[in-house]
Amino acid sequence: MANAARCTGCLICELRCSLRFEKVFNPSKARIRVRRLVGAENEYEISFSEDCDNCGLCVRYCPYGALSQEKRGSG
Amino acid sequence: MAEMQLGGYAGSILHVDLTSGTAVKEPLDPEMAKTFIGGWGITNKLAYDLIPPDAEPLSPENRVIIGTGPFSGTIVPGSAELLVTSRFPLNGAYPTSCGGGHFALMLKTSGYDSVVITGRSSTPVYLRICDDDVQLSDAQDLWGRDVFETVDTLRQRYEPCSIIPIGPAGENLVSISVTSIDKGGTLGSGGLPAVMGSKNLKAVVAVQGTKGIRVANRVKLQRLVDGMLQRIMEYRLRPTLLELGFFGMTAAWTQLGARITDNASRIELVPAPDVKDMHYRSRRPLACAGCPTADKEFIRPQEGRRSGMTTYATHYSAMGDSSGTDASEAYARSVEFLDAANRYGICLFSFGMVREFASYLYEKGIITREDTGGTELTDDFETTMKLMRMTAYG
Repeated sequence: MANAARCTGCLICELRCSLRFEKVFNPSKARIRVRRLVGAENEYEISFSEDCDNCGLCVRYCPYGALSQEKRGSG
Repeated sequence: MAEMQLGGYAGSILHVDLTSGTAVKEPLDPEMAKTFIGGWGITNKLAYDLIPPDAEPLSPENRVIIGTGPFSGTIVPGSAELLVTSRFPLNGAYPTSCGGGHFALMLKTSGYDSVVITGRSSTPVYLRICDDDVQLSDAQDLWGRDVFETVDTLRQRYEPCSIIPIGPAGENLVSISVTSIDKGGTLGSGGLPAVMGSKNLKAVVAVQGTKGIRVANRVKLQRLVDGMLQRIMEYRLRPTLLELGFFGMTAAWTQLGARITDNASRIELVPAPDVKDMHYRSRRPLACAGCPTADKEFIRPQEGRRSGMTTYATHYSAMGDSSGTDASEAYARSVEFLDAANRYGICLFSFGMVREFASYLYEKGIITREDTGGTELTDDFETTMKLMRMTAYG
């Protein structure tokens, strides 16, 4: 679950996720996706791709409490 | 491209010549990378090799050398800093400026550790980098727009991306210009934007590329970073930093109303209204890539005359003359001052000192209204804002 209001855009979730799945760092290779909302100020949309296996790595490493592991979904 | 063996590095340097409009990709020399470790070392080595000693800061021969290090774009805390070396117009020195945001990460996802920009375009352009697709695009529609407007327009075109823009101060070759990467990471105090402006370079855009940033030993890196993170997350001042930003550390000083005066020879205490609660309600943290302790901030005042306006800050502090005002007005003025400096692309610290010096000279009669274009240099907020505009537009 994502609480995008707490997201600061650090992308640590995407970096951890891409490292786990693809062994490299690149946000575009992550199963979690943090998009900056264009036209808004400092607002983000967080979503998960179909092949996310709910491992919880992004939840564990989010330093801002924007993610929690209850069920898969998008915020 | 040959596979780069060194962990952390992307493996290439991009050379862009604005005069001829050409771009060349050069493999990063592993020996150089090892000898001059990281962004700081490599940008300085490139500056030493490539900037002719007699190149004037605002001449086409000067270079803007953008660099990252082997940690950039990884999970190492604090690795978001982008480094830029150039000859700066403020004092003719060769500083290495650093700023946060997402540029280092985005640049490395396109496979570049550094970008060297030289020459001068005949018309305003911006440089866009996405993998091997490197373009100089017409920026005439952006020329004249402020730092935030430029970022907003380019984000509409290229998000996800990271942007180094310049504002009017850079375009007008102001030596105390500064810019901010992605609206948050201040970069290039001492006139980097003026160097870009002299090259007719309105912005550099790093679009998220497709390359993965590879490290030598990812298990060991994660273990080391986990240890660092534990200490950072348990740091006793972390909650204060996240709630109030740097202002949390300087609130008492601001409330004391300590003002530098008399040509920076004296500190005057003018008790200022307490804006701490107002600031707490108005701000939200903004982080650079990979950072667990966001120190940038997005500000939207929740009350008062400037309620609803938005701006960004690296370091919030009360600015302008707030004596005789209440907290609401003092806060509104501070946010207005910050926003104007952000948008013009003027270093507010340099501006504050120059303004203080000018007022001192005016008081002593060394400069007069003839020198100021008819403006009386009084110590009020309106004059400060007017002088900032005059600084940006010449």
